[in-house]
Amino acid sequence: MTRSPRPAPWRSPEERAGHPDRPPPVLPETSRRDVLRIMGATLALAGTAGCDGSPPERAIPYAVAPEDAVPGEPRYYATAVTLDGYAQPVVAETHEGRPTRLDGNPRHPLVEGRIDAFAQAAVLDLYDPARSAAVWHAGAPVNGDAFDTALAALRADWAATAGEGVRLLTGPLTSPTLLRRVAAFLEAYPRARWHAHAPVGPYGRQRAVALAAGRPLDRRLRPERAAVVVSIGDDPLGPGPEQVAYARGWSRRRQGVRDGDAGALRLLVAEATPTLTGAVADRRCVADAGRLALLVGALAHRLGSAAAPAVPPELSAAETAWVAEAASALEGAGGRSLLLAGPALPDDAQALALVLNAELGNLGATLDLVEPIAPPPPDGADSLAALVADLEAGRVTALIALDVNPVYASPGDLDVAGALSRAAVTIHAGLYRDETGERCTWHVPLAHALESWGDARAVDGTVTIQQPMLRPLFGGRPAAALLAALTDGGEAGDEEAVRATWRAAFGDGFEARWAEALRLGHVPGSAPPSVVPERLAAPPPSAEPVPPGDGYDLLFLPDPTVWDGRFAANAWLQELPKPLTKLSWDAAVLVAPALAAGLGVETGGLLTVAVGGTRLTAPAWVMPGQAPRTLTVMLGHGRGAPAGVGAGVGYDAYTLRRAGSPWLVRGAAVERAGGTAGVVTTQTHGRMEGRDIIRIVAPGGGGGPETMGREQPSLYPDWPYEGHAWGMVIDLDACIGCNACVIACQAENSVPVVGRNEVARRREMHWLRIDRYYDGDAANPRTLFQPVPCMHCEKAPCEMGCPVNATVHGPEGLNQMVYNRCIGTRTCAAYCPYEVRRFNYFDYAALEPEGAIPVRNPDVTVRSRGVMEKCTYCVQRINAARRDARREGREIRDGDVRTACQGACPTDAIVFGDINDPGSAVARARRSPRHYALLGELGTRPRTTYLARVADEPDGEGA
Amino acid sequence: MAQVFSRRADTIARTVIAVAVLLAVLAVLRLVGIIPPGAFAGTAAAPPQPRPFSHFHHVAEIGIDCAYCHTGVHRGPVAGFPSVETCAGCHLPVEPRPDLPPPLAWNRVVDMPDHVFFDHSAHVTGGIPCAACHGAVEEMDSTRQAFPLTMAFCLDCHRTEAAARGLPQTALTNCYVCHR
Repeated sequence: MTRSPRPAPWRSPEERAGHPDRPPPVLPETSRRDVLRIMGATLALAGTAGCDGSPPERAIPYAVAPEDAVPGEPRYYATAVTLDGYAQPVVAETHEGRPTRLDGNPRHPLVEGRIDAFAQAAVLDLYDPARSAAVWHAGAPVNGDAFDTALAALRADWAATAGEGVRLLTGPLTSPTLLRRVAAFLEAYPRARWHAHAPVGPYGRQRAVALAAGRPLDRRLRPERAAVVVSIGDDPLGPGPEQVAYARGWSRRRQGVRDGDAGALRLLVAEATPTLTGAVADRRCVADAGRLALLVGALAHRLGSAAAPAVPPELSAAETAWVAEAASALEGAGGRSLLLAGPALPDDAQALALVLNAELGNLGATLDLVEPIAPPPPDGADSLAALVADLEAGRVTALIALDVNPVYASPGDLDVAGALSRAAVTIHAGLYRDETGERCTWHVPLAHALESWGDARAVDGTVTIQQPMLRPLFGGRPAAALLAALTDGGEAGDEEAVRATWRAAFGDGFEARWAEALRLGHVPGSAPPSVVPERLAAPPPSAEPVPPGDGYDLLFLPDPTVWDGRFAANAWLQELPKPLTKLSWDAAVLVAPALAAGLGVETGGLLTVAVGGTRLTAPAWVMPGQAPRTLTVMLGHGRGAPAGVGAGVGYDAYTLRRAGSPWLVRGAAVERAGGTAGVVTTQTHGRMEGRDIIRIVAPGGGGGPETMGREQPSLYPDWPYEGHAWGMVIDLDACIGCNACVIACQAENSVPVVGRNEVARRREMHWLRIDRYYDGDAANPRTLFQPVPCMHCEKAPCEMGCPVNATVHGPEGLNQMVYNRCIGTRTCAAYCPYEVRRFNYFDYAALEPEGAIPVRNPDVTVRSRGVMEKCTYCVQRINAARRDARREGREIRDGDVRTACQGACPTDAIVFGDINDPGSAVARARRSPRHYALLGELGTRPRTTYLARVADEPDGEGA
Repeated sequence: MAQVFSRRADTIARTVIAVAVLLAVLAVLRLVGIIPPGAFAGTAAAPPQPRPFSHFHHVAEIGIDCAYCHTGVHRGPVAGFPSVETCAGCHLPVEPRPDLPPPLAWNRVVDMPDHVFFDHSAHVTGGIPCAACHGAVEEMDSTRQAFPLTMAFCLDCHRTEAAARGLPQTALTNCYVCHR
């Protein structure tokens, strides 16, 4: 393959400028006294480590063994965890009753076995020792019975006044049972009201749809049917409850492009801040957040829509060119296109985009409207603001807050904490005694989704019935039981409440259908049909958006790893490098390179962002591809003590948020605050010194003798691979950098968390990392992702380097790491050109809380201090497949072994199998013209190989 | 001129001699049989148990098959200990069934290191009898470890079995067979 020379992709502006090693972040000082103390403890421990003869291990059998239980074999249950109320269908793997990992449910029609990072990490929350374990009243833990007694008295009071002044505050509810209980609550107390609050949630989008359709509806995208997708400020592939479904649909459609048909899918994105959707766009236009609405108007004008503004908005040359290309692509798609407008756009622009979709003939083809999966509360997106107004007016006497944290996660212009003190009785129920729980008169611990019966709808409306894996570890109460207890005559518990819902829905044959729904992990046919609204008309465009003047556009995004803050206590997610910035245990204000230069800051330099009188000081992050006058902040950080390990990470962007326009504030001010704060990022870790790390080919391109012909002659004899020869192929064109594989690997292989300071010292332990590269100009580069696990080289430098034979070559090509032989010379890591080996500098596993030990995979060794570790190709799964095959007297079939990363990947970017079997999926992938070996010129002959990214202008600039 | 021997030289020499003598005495005691075979390999003594359970009685005298109680042995990695209900099947009346006592906390007779992943089903369904590793359990009144179960013990068998089954030489002896 011939490619014209082009500058190598780069990872950070510093690297591009030629000095890749940024100054190390500021770390807490370690005094000489601390060093001596730690050394003393180490010596004391070293003394005891030599003693053998630990007391005999106990074996405690079951009293009554579960039916069909095979000791030591995991049992699997189909259930769901929720994100923003939406079900994320999972299959929970349990060992002796303890869930250890969550996989996607292969029988669920929406996800087909795939899963995102949030849902996988939910299993760690289950064991979090920071979870609330007691009922609190008036600032002190009390006996749980006291709450039941108090609630009985409250019920009598509420019944007497018909619920006057009683308010129920929840998150978005999709659960038929919870919605039924809310309705029963409102029926029992007719003057009570229900409010719902979601920092991210669906209500804003529903309101925008209502502007066009006359009533709130949800949109369901069908990217797998769309030949053209135009996204203006939207991020369908980004994190959130819809990611897995949309990423799967996109990847299926994109397969046509990978197979050489450039017309199979065109993705055009205009955005103010880089997103995962923008990273895989064919054409990406950078425009400030406040200007994106103009692009929708201009597009309407180009398309000749009746709803278009009378005067086309004035656009820059680049924007005009992008709009022209988008318009012609949309027109040429013949009802097989999608036009998306992001949640930060004004409602009228979103409504206009919906009308344009209808005019393009997309309704019913690529875009369906359905009745809201999460029905909006009476005040819709303004529900919390209405509640706060009522609280401040003294109209609320009792408030029940169920699994919400509005004191933290609410716009800065709503004084929720102050308003809460106006109600006489405030009851908070949550997994944690969080900021809201601390300010309520009552706090009740809530049971985790894996501890309780429940039900919830996925984003397509399909219901999953949640079944508990174990009894509540911390004595939490299931949400369904708690809601039922608010009214007299409610069901006695969560199971009764859920069964009552479905007994009514299933009618005759309830038990059989109930058992079937539990077995499948979803209720077949429960997705609502699409609706055709009676009218669909764009509203007259609102007044011209305020010209920004000297102000900046301040854009809010849910954090890609801690979301709205609910995962702040989850160590896996905190440590997970964010897809685009690779920040770990940290948050920053994203600024464009030009703006950073104008302000005189570099990454890590402190900025003060001001909205009205509210000021926030936070470190800057120079973000290639960011719009020049847009600042982006991530929600979910800056939490206090209730967030456990997440306390004190980052800054709290909610203080700048405004209830009226939660996603975008125009006219913000920014200035250099002086000084720097270290930001912890892994973007420069694991730097591979080599050319051609990421390859980009034109559709149908690639191939030729150069692709795999780089195998150098070797002085070492070739290994015979007589049986299987395991290999992995990673498709860089399918990877969207979503991190699902990284968490899958962490959960499967019990990869320890090391914490912020250790990550700053490049000691993160992730066996699989995703490198993010930029290609082209920093103003609008192309973004590329490359997952890098162990390459399992056939000529592995590490094997030649190890002085004690602790890393050896297996008969099937696995590069085996033998922990108990390793003496920690780290020679192998020094020899590894791919930087995939991880050294356990401290006993990281021993530093993890004891309560979290059950989450570890019992099929994997817990590694100790001073030992090298790395990806094993999930050898425990290979061995299990081999054992099962032998027991059944057959050979291992293609697909029997699925690595954890492969199983989670929503876009099927990773294939694994036997390369000796010419019919296997991995062997087929290796015959692709896009196939290449990373650093193949070194002659390492890696077993993990890559398929090149496809782009219509392989050497172009992406813009 | 510096001293040739340090101040501690005598102490070191005496310690070395003392340890050597001690080892020699232990070796002699082992050879003449005062120390039982296996004392250094963990196979000598039976660990104390909360109840004096006799495999001799259950296996040799009554004739119960191993898998009747160790139910996982054909199906999973762990053979498993019988549940209280299994014991109660013989030891307690069926009707009226009394409340089951709580499970006993047995002391493990065989405690494999945590970095060794032994799978019972792979061995038993592959034709390796229980006795190959557990010895003549049916003769034991109190159960003890019959063989040292060291890595060398495992490898002896893995090497010969690979050859006997026509598998590649390293198929059963590479590290990832037992360690992960």
